[in-house]
Amino acid sequence: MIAFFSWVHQALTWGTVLKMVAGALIVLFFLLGAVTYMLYFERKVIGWMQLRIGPNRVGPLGLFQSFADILKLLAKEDIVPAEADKPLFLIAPIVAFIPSFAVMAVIPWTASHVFTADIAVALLYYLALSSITIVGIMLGGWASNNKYSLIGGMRSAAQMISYEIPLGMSLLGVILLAGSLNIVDIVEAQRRFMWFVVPQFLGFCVFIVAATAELNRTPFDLPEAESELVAGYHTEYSGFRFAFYMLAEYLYVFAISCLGATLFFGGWSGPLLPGWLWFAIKVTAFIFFFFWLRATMPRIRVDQLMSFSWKFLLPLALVNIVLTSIIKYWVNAG
Amino acid sequence: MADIRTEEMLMNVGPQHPSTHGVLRVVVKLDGETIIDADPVIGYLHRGTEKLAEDLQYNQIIPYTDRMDYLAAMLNNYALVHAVEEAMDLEIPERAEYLRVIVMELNRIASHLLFIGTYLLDLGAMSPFLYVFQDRERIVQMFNEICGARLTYNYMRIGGVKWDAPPGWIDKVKAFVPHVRKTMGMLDDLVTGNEIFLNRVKGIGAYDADTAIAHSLSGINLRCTGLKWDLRRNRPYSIYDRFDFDIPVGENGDCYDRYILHLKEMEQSLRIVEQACDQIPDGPVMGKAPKFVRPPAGEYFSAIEGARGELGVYFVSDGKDKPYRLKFRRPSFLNLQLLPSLLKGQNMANLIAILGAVDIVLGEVDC
Amino acid sequence: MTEDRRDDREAKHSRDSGAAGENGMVPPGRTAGKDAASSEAVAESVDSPRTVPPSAGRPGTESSDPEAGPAKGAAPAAERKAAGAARPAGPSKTAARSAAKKGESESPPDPREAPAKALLAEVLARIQATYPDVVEAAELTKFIPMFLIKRDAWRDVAAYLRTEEGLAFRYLEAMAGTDYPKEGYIEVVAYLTRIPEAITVGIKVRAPREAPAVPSLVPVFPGANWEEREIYDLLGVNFAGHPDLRRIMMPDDWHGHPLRKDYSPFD
Repeated sequence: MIAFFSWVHQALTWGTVLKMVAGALIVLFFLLGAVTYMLYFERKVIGWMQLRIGPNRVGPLGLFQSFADILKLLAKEDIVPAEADKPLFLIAPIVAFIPSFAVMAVIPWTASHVFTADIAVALLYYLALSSITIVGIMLGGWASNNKYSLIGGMRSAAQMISYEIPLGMSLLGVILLAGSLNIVDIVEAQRRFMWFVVPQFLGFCVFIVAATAELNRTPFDLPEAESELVAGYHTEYSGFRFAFYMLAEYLYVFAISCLGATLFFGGWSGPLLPGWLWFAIKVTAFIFFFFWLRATMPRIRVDQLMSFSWKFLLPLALVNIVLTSIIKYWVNAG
Repeated sequence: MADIRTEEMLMNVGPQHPSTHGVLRVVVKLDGETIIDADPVIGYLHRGTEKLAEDLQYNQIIPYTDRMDYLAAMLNNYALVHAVEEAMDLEIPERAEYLRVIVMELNRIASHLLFIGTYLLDLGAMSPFLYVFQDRERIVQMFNEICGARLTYNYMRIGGVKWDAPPGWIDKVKAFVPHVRKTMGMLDDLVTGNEIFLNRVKGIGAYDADTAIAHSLSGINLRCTGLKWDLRRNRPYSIYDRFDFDIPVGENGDCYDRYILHLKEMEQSLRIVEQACDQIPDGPVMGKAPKFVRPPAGEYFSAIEGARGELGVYFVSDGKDKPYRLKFRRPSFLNLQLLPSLLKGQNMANLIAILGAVDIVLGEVDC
Repeated sequence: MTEDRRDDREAKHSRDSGAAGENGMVPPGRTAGKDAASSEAVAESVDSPRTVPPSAGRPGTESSDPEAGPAKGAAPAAERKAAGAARPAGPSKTAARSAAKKGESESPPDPREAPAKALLAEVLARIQATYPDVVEAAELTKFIPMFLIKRDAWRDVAAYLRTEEGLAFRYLEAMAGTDYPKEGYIEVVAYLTRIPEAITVGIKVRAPREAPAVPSLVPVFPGANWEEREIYDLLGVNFAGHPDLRRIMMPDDWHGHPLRKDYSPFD
């Protein structure tokens, strides 16, 4: 089984292509399932934190609630506002959605690189692809021809671009320590040395804040700030186009959690338990953290958000890079 | 770059909007995300209560007052019956007065709880909204027990109250008081010190006492400027002169003061409830009021401290059993007046923070 | 309120493009309909068999009834005038009743009465010292001094009460308008309060029903803004000098002023 999917170092034949397609499909369906239960998990966790029960009607313990929701979304009418820019309006959710799946290609699920593209510029690939989503969100906000959507889209663009920079900077420290952009190499480096969260604590702090902002989640959920902008950039979307946006958002939560677990907490490495389980535990902890934040925090204001990124987070990330470089230089010299 | 042409954007916030607390519509003119002009448009919930009242007997108007400030209907009930009782010099049985005070203060607590919940929800914090509903639910249940309704109570009558408290009700209220204190402590821990929250409300929407007085603000909107003006103390009505309670005031007149005053006032209301529960005597709950209430001809004005400010009732009687003219001085309506000048020059995100802190109920604004 | 009216209102973003019926008063002919008197007569006949006294209980405070004779204030002449003029609609029956009542229970006055009378006298004297002949009547409405001011001096007197040393009624507590079709005028009343002493006086002004116009109080009390808009909307009183006199409760294209006694909905 593992050998079957280890196509990375095989010659490119029709057989390998078939294996690739099969592997991608398996990942796709796995992720769909994961996101479905993330939704359920979020609603249950927040429900418990808010003294509620959460979904408990569809299926045992409400386990099928998310499926019911997704089916409902898919069955709904696909409304396009009369004044909307129709081609853009239709294409925008897809533009936002595709990169969110594509970034999963470089996440190493286990030690044996199953389904994983073991590419040398994996981190760069992740950052580059994930910024395409911003285009989808902005297009959606613009094409809806709705003022709330427009402001929401603008806010998203400003926010995601602003926070992409500290996010990338915070990863530089890890790259410096590992000496590679390849995520698998980074995990291996942590197995030899230690989890990078310890030497890169500053970088981790910047990462987790910037990641939350990048995900548009509370306390940085301004683009879809319900109390101000109704629903932000997806105000006018319904049915499966709305589901695309939702999926993209939750996939990014999953992807960032994977990235955080991999870069700072040693990925699949860990004692006793099998690698995939370690990975799952770490990712779940990250996801839980994001949900926990959502139940706790109020929303930051848009101008404060910007100045926080540029005046605080970015300098902090830069300081982290400089410190990491100096320490690494000393260690190598000594 | 300087000659890039920018355009102002006109945006309708409301009447269907998650944060306008009903059907308020604010037409804001935006330059980017900066508000350069704001015009509140009201009237979407106007039911003509004052006109309807002219064809109703005084006791028949009471259910209509429930529908004004539907979050503090007991206080509305009282404002009307108090005005008529004052006009007629009716004597109210002691027990009725105490029951009135207890339900009014409980209602004030329920209303303030809801303010805190919705305000934090407006600012993006979801959980406190659900926490406050736990306690509010208990208050509403107690009201249900005493008058059979959860929201529109129709509990007070001219001359007393409709029902006596069911057996054990007073003890239940007493037991409930520490519970609210716990919730308030939790809210305080969870929110008050939160850096993000403070950044959003401190120094936002500030005005001074002179502005507040000139614009006829009342209630917390006036007290947040540091002015001690609470009709329960300044112009005592009912039996409020028998209780020991403080009037908390703010310092800076900003949204933070308005938020924190709600918490502090709940504590004072709890104190009043406690004292009233201890002092309440036995006896009848309905005084000797005539079946057809006919205040002597003349015009009357009286006001009470509602949950949102000064709730006044002006009525003209021509000696008949229906008011010739009835006018409510609704605190939300007058408090909302200052909104446009507070919003000018602010960021769009502050709109919600400022509007939320004014604490309006549209049923009352539109009457 | 019907749906299409809502929509009309929604469509009008900038309401400054003044609608025709916006600034003008309602033509008197429009509101022709049933007279208020007829419904009153019905009410009268319904409650006439009842012989419930207008106030029961508390014998101690009976004499505070404002009907019970003119107050012994500083301006008895004005008092007496007010006793006749300031009453709304034929109070003869009630007056007789309360007079009879007064005869049987002569009791000590309410403690609030004496300070109210003193306040009435003081404020009246001060207004008359500065603005002679503007107070048409002065009386005590249940412990609140009430002055009927001439229309021309309405804003001046309000400003005087607000700013004058020793008066300083800085807080506009409430405003209300009342329609008196029989007498042919619309009355606007304002309650002014001194903070924090909580001393309140009322001032009122009358304007003819056909073309009611009153100087606006907004330049003196900014808080009068929406109150005056409401009175304009519901009663049709034109407040001269109001910065933004538009309808506030009813839709912009509404016909008539609902709180008038002879209002009937326009079809």
